[in-house]
Amino acid sequence: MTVTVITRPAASVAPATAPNPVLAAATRGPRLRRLGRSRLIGWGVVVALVLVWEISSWIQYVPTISSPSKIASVWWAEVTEGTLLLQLAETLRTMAIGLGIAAPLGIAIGFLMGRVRVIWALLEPLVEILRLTPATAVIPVFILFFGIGDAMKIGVFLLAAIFPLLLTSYAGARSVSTTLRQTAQTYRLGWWQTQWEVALPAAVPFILVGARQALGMSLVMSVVIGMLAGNSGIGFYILMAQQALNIPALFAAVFTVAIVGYVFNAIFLALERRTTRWRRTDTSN
Amino acid sequence: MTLITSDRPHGSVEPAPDSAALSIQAAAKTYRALDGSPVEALRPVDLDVPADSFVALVGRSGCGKSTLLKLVAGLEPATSGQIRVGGEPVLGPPDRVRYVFQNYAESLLPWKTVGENVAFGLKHAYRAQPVRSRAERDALVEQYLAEVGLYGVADRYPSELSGGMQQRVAIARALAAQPEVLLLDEPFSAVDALSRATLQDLVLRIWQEHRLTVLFVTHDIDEALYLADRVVVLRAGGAGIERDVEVPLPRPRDQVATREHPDYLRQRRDILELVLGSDAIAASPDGKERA
Repeated sequence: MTVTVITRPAASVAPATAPNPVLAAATRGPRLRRLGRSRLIGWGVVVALVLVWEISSWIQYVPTISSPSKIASVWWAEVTEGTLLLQLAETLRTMAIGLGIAAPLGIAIGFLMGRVRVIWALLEPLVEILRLTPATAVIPVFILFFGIGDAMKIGVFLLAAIFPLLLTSYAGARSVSTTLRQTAQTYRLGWWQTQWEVALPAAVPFILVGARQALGMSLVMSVVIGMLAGNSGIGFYILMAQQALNIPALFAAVFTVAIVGYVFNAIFLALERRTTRWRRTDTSN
Repeated sequence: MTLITSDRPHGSVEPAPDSAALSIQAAAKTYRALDGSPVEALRPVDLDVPADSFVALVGRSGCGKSTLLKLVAGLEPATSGQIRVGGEPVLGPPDRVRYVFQNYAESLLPWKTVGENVAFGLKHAYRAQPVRSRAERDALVEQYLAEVGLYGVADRYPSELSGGMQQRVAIARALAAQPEVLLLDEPFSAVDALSRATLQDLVLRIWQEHRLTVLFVTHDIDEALYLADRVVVLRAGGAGIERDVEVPLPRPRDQVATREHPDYLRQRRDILELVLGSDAIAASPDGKERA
């Protein structure tokens, strides 16, 4: 019998100690063992929790915690007839613009700070002060200056997303080892060639981690902005549902945000796996 | 002053001073320690390496052999003295030189496949070869990989290969750049003994087929004697050259016969005594060797 080696996805939570494969194969069937190590059982936990919630609502219905079936029906109605998707689209639009500006800017500034000493010296204090300022604290300031329109929202997304990208890009640019730098020198690469062919590829895995962090920050901000600005977006929708005591709609909106976050994260993980295939390969000695 | 007065072919029997591929004149390196005090990594060294010859630098750690190689490679500036490669003073990494690092895992571009790494050597070459299509490039890459005994690994990533195979890729990449001079810094020290023997023979074959000038740094006296035309022994503590030994052993060298040759054994004993002798100087006054 050949022992099947299961490759674990890079970002999933790995067990602290891998079970002894020989022992496990001897005691349990290989199929059961494979199931025991896959994330499928984790999805089973999610389904079980929803079922418990649903069954408990049959036994005693509490309006403030609603029930999965009721939330699902309201969600479907809100998606097909209500404004949930429109508000979500509105939020995602400003988020996409903010991230679209933050990504090239953050990556470029961080990378140059990592590669050019004078740029680092020029910007490091400013970055250190700004990166620790919570974007949520800046929203009232931005509202004061830009109003509650697109400019303010894009600005907040930009501020929230730029630092994770900038800092990881900087770390990636600094990650070039002495040997790698000297290799580029002995092959007589010019400055631009060194950045393009050596430093930037070395920084890519770092930048992808930063992109995922930026996305997470943006999702948080997407809700907060709508709540604080109070004119449109998914956060505004959640706030309205809460104030109208429309509990199923409130839950429907919250789950929508959760699903959006999950899908985005999954897309980025897939991207990470594709572009950093070389990193996950094992050394044979 | 670089008038060509000789029409002798490259690497003739009696080399004129100008035909030296590498010429090191009183090159020294002093670092500044953190407290600002000078640290002599290498005291003035004179060394001429004729074209097409194989010279090994040996000595204990801290003798400055790697420092000297970095100076020749133009990776670090010499504090004093002058180094010439192919007659031209070294001010930065010379184009006709390629360097094989001890730390192959960090020298190969890990995000590029093995084939792409060799193609990197083709692209950043001293003597560029015409590559008109991807197919032509791939054929050249396969040819260089075959030269180092690697087949069917062009699409693998370096991290998927063993240490010895990774160093072969690094050598193939250097060859693809068609250098005149190949510098190797303890290239096989992280490789197991059996692979090392194979890699030594590989380097000898490549040196002869490509008519390279090789400067090879190692702490392994057996390796130096087995490979080189000349073994240069450096004194401990960066104190310069202890001795410059000609190795008259016949070629082609053989892993078994050469290592049993009476001249080999005699020279091995001499050099070992030299290297260990420099230890006795550093030993404590009661005559005991330091651990």
